[in-house]
Amino acid sequence: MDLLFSTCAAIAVLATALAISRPDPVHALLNLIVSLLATAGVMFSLGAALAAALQVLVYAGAIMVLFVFVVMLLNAGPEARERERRLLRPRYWLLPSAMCAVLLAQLLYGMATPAVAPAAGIAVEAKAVGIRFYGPYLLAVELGSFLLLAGLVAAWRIGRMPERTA
Amino acid sequence: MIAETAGIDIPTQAALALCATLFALGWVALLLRRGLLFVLMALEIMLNSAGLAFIVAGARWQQADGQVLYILVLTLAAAEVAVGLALAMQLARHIRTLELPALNLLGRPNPFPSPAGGRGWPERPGEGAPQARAERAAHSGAASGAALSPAPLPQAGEGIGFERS
Repeated sequence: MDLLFSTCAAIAVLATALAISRPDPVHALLNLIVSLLATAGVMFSLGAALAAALQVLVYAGAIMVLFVFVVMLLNAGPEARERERRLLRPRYWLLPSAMCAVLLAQLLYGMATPAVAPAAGIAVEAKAVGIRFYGPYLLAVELGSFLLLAGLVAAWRIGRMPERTA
Repeated sequence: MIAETAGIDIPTQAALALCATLFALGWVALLLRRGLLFVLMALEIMLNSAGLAFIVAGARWQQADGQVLYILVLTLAAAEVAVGLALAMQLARHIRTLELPALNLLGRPNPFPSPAGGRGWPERPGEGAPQARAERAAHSGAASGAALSPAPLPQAGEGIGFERS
């Protein structure tokens, strides 16, 4: 079995199990981000390079940063400083950092040796994805844009709801 | 025949087992955790594992449709998390809690007596609910007179009784 796939799969399962068992949302988010990065590695080992890039950009980037923003906004208060001090203890960030280091080592190894990349003809190229996307799936793209617009309007409306004052 | 390769030499069963494991972990988290942020994270884990299953299937058949459907799942996750986190912000602002047991309103009186005089939901289950009830009684009495006073409402906690279990 491919070494990249098995390592990334093990990291993904371990980080997800850690993410759902941490009591603090910040620790859970750290482990969840590592899990999503490892899932991106799994996608790359399956030959889906475009999906792996989107996983890193959108899932681990945009969506998880939204979570982090909300946790930051909810924790604004006098107890936030004590929480920050507790976050700096090594036993909270050592394991996610170790898993990230393994992923980084794999990335550097893959950049140093181009033979690790999937062979041509096996990988599904981004061009093929784009052709399918704007050909037979055009209606689904339009529906997806409806969904994103509805989500945007709903989030805007809910976020602007005035505070009920007594 | 079943153990066809998905990518280079990765069996499809191993990749699908990874998807199933991640989905099961997210499902367990959805059942076990009671914080709203953790529930949203569990939904993200489950959606991500479903998208990964699309990728695996696309790699198995060497088709681009798997990645197309993964991108659609990605838009769904983005919209869901935007609305969910906006709702979480509103809950944190109004009720000062994100714990789901405190948000269980079945069997308790309506926490929003009127659009003008609402005080928001009680901070903890069973606390502040009788006050809201008395306020609503006063509001409706002032608005429609004593003849149309509403029927007595159940006390806090004596409704369907989910919160006792």
